Parts: sequence; structure tokens; C-alpha cells
Amino acid sequence: MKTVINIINQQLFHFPLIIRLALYETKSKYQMHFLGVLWQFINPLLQVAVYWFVFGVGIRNGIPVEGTPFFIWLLMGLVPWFFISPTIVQGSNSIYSKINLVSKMKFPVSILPSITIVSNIFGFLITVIILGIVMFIYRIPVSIYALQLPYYLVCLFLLLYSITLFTSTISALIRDFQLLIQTLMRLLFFMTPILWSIEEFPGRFHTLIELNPFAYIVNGFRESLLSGSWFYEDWRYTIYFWSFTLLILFVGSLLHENYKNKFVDYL
Amino acid sequence: MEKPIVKLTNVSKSYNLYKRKSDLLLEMFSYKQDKKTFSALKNISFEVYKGETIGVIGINGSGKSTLSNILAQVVPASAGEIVINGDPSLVAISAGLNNFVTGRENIELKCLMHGLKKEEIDEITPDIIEFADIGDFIDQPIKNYSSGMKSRLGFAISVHIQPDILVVDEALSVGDSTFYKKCLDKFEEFKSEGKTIFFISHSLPQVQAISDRILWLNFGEVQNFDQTETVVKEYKTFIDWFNGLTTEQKKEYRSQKLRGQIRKGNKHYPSGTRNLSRRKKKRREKNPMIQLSLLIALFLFSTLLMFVDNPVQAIQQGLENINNEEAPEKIEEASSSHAGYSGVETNYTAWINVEKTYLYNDVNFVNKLKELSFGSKVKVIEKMEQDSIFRVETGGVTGYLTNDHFVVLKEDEVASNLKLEDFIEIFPDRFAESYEFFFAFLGSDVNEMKESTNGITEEYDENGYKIYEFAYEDMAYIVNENGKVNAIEIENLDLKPSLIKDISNEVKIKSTDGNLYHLKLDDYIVDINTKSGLIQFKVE
Repeated sequence: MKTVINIINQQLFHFPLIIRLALYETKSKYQMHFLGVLWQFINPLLQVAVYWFVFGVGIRNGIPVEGTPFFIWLLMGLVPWFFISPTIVQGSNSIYSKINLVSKMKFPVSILPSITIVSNIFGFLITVIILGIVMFIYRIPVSIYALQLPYYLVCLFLLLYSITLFTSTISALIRDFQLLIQTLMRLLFFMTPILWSIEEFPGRFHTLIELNPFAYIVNGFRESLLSGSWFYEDWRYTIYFWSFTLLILFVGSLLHENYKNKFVDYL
Repeated sequence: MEKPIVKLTNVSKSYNLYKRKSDLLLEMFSYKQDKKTFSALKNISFEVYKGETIGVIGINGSGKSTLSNILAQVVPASAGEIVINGDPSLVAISAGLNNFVTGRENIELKCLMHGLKKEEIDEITPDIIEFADIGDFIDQPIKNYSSGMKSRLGFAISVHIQPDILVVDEALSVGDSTFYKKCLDKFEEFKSEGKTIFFISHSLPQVQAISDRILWLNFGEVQNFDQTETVVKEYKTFIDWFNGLTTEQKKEYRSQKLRGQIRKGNKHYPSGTRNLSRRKKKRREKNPMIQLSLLIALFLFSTLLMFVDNPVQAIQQGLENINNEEAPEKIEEASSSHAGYSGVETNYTAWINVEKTYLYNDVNFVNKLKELSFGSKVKVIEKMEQDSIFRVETGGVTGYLTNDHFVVLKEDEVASNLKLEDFIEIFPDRFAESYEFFFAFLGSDVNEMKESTNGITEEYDENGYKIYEFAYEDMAYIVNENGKVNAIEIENLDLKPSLIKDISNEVKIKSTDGNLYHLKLDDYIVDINTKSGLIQFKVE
């Protein structure tokens, strides 16, 4: 636990540094492209359009999900996913890609995954605002359940940090791991209830689907925005989610602490 | 006595030598120590005080760069104690520069990484560009720079971020004489500010010109550490001797020394420090392992919990089972309950009076058999030992229910005196105008209905039925699997108390919360949901 607290303290202590480096990263990411920051919009818009056309109009026949138009339903799943997926893929690579810069100075390596997360938050905020506008157009009322949105955001950030700390440490040591992560994320997109509703599966599969911690986040977003239920009502799922996150964070911290000074030796 | 700013005690650094990449993998997962290691530094000890300039000299492969990395705290030592009071900054050729972005962005990135604020960076950037003297190339990607430009930029950045200790590793060997002069001025400035400089080079004249003291490294060991003149004299003698050797002899000398650095097994450190530090480490490792297993246990437990439908009841039942095992005769009692034990046989008809309940396989209500919705008819067969539990049968399934989920009524008591006309008042206006037309299709074929009506706004499947929605008339048809229009559902009812009162008085089966009504007319079975304003007429 001491290592975990240590690493979290480092994040807090270096928070201004994280913000500054994240801003730098966002700025430089699109600098070489002619359309620049516009890609932040173009990419998700195209994907939403295709998924809505194929799964909403085509496969689902435009039938609403539990009374919500499919388009809104889809958007509520895709908005967090468009944040989760690139963050994990880039975050896993964060130590490896920066180690040459970092290896020649004294630098807290454990904040590298945080920088990736924060730099992706900017894009996430934009998509959340767009979601809000679309909800307004569709006249989806905002209920008191929206108050638990911050809770799910905290869950999301902590889960992402735990996973990226773990994966970035391993993939700096074993390069094959990065490829595995990319493949896994592509599969998880279809295994998470984003394009489909969990209710469409027979009851005995529900628990199996819910074991995926991202399902907790995506479901939580929909529960908050579509006035479903409070997070503590399904307390077993909440306990499961937190024990999963803590375990990954703990293992990640131990590994990271063990190898943080040896990355240079292993490359 | 002044406190040393840098103090190294018995510091060693060794690298493991791998033949294959897979050896590296194996090493990561095991604590085995019997492999080939190369000790780049062996038992280095020295002290350096504030404001000193220390030259580090030695021939190729003597461990100069390793020492510079250790001093800059980039690489950890394998053993020994290092105390550094201050912020070190390492200057090496093209160190830590990103090849694909421009020089200006590299300045920003490096400064950011050293924790400088935006304003501070803006302030020192012109100074850095001026010092590095690379002109218009500052806005070009680093990959287009010459090696001299790279090292000048790296040097310029490192000296401008105000380190307490500057470690210069061979960085000056690529600069020309004007740049060299500029660096010397900068070093003087540093010295006057009381900062410490480590100057690492194999060029004796450069080191001699700058340093106060010189550390001479030879194949990983400190050969001498003394005032400049003394060491320079000794080093010169050594170099002269070394250069006087024939190529063969040089080779022989080198390989002999290198062989001394490569060791197999665990015992390559004569000093006790390493063993001590290992023992300390072991003790520390124990604690996380316990915590880790606790977390894994918590995770597994919560996963298990996910698969149990009703944990509190399941635990209770588990406890009961344990109790039962202690008293075997009780099990017999429980298992024989099906064979006519204890129940009082009954024969009532009853109707479910809650919105939704389940028929259970057992009296402890753990295994669900079937979902029962409001208004379902059940046959009460047996009153169980526990007063509130009954065995009931519906649709060929027999199971258990508590008596607060159904109401017992005779078949003819359910029938009401109401007529269809009594409901017109609560129908929405538009539907009320043409209700007879729509009711005419109840019980007829779906195709007939489709041909004779228009205005279907949506059709979809729900629980095996096909639903045809007429959004403009506030109604929908429900068609069963045989293609017959089975029921009509009307929404947006006008449920003012004055209107619903007449109906409400006639209803015999109401849900416990008072929201749902179930009644029977001559031709229809009627379900009303007063909460959501829905009514459904179903033909039998």
C-alpha cells in the first residue's frame, strides 16, 4: 500500500507539471497536419456516423433502446469509449516512447501515463459537450441521477491510470505486450455494451459481460444521463469494480517501483 | 568541516550480459543471480564540495559515462551509498532531444520536463538560442542538425535551467574554439555562483584547464583522485607507457583488464554492503506480498459475489445447510416435504396482486422458476408449514409463493358488471371518436387489420408478440404468434378521479400499491395501469 500511496502522491505533487506537459503534447500532436485540431472532431464524427448507420439503421432497424433513441444510446457509450481506447493504447506506450528523453534526466517516470490521460481529457471534454448539445436537441431531460457523473468520472480516471501504469511498465520491458494491448482493445470494443444493450443477451450471460470493468463505466454513464439508478444500488458490482481497480493499481505500482530505474538497462 | 555536496561510498555498478533477448525475460521473473555480469564501476568512493570543478578522466571503457549517469541520478547504482544534495543536470551529446520536432520545441519540452513554468521558459528561450548560436536552424527539426549543433543546443539548455550540479559528458569535444571559449566563461560563472561541475572527458588539456581536482578512472576503479597537477603528471606517464606498447600488447592489457570486470556468480563484491542491502530488501518485500494476496482474495470474493443472485439469502441458506448437516434427521424432513408432508391441501383460485413476482422452486425462495405478472391466475394447492407460504400451480408449473402476493377470489367474483361503453369517458379524445372501429379487429387476422387500417407508425417485437403502434390514435395492437390480433392497448388515458371512480368501485383485483386494476368484462379481460395511464383489452 505504501508504494501505491507514494505513486499517487507523486501524481498530486507533479500535477502542474502533468498539465503543462499534457498541453504541450496536445499542441504538438496535430501540428504536422494541415487540418490540425479539426481532426479531434473529424475522427469521432466519422466513426459515430458509421456505427449509427450500420448498427442503428441497419441491424437494429432504428428501434429505440428502452425508450431512448438508438442514436443517443450509442453516443453515450461511444463518448467514454473514444476516451478510454486511445488513452490505454497510447498510455501503454507512454514510457517506451519517452524513455529516451527521460533517461538523461531525473524525471518521475510514473507521471508519464498521467500525461497521456490528461492530454486525452481535452478531446473527451469536447465530445462530452457535443453529447450535451445532442441531448438538448433530442429533449432528453437531465435528472438528479446526473449528480453521480463525477463519481463515474473518478472511477474512469482511476481505472485508466491503474491500467496504463501496469501496461506501460510491462510494455517498456516486453515490446510484444503493446501489440497484445492493441488487439485486446479492439476486441473489448465489441465485448463492452456500447453498440448493444446488455438486456439483449439471455440473463445467464449478464454477469459474464459485467466482469469487464469498462462495462461498469459505460453503464454508469447511461444510468446517470438516462435516469436509471444510483451506483450503490448495485453494490456487488461496485465492490467488484473497485477491487479490480485496486488490484491492478497495486500490481502496477509494485512492478513500476521495481523497474522504474531499470528501463534504460532493459532497452 | 564543510558538508560535501556529493558523496559516494563504495558505489558499484554492474550490467548483466545477455546472449539472447529471452535471457532478459527469464531474469525479470527470477531472482537467480548466477549469470555473467560486467562491473562498469567497482567500489568507487569520493567526496566533492560546493563550488568545485572536478575533471573525470580515463581511457575508453574506463566507466566515465556510467559514473556521469550515476551522478546525474539517471541510472541507479547496483550497490553502495550515494548522497547528492542538489539538482543535477546532465549534458551529453544530443542527450534527451526529440529528433522530430524543431529546436525551439525541444527547448520548451526539455524545460517543461525539468519543471519550469511557461513564463520562465519564455524568459530563458532567447538566452538559450543566443548561447547555442544555431541561427535560423532553431525552427528546423533536430534531425537536420549537425552533431555540433545538437550538442551546443543540449549544452545551452542544460546550463540555463539552473542546476546545482552540472555533469558534462564529452559534450565539448564537438564544439569549435569559439564555443569552447563561451563554455569556459559559463563554467567560470557557475563556479562564482558556488555550483559544482563534473567535467568528463578523455582530452587531458581540456580537463587540465578547467578542473580543480581530477578523478582518474581506470577500468571501473579509481586510480587516483587528487589535485590537478598530481593526477595530470601520473596520467601522462600512464598514457605515454600505454601508447608505447605494441598493438598486441595493448590488446593483451585490455582483455586482461576486461576479464577482471566480467564475473560469474554472486560473489563479485568483496565489500559487505551488497549483502546487507539485499537482506534489507527481502524484509521489505514480505509486506507487499501479504497485501497483494489480500487484494487478490478480495477480488476473487467480489467476483464470486457477482455470480450469486441474492447474496444475503444465499448466505443464510448456506448457514442453514451447515446446521442441517449437524442434524441429519432434519434433512429428511425437508426433503420429504414434497411427498405430502405438513401441507394442508387447498383448492382455491387466486390472482397475483403485485406488479411482478416470482414463483420459487423452494420454500426458502432462492431458485426462481417463473416470472408472474399482475393479474395472472394461479391455483393454490397447498398451505405450507410456515403460515404465509403456499404451493401454487400455474400453466403446468408448481412452485411457492407468499400470501401477500396474491388475492383469493372465486372465478365468478372477478367478472364485473361494466360494459365497454363505461370506458369511453377515460379514452383519449381522438381514440374515443373511433373506438368501435378499432375494437372490431380484436380477434381477427393480422393481415385483415393491416389492409383495413392505415396509420401504423411503428412495428416491433416484444416478448414474442408483434406490436403495431398507431401513435396518432394513442393505441397499439398486440398480435400473437398465430397472427391473430390478441389485444388492444390504449395510452394517455384521462384518469381524473371523477371518471375513474365508477370503474374503480367495480374492480375486485387491485395491486397492493393501488396502481394496477384487473377485471373481466363479458368479452374482454381488462388491465389498467393508472400510474402510466395505460389500458389493455384482451380477448380470451
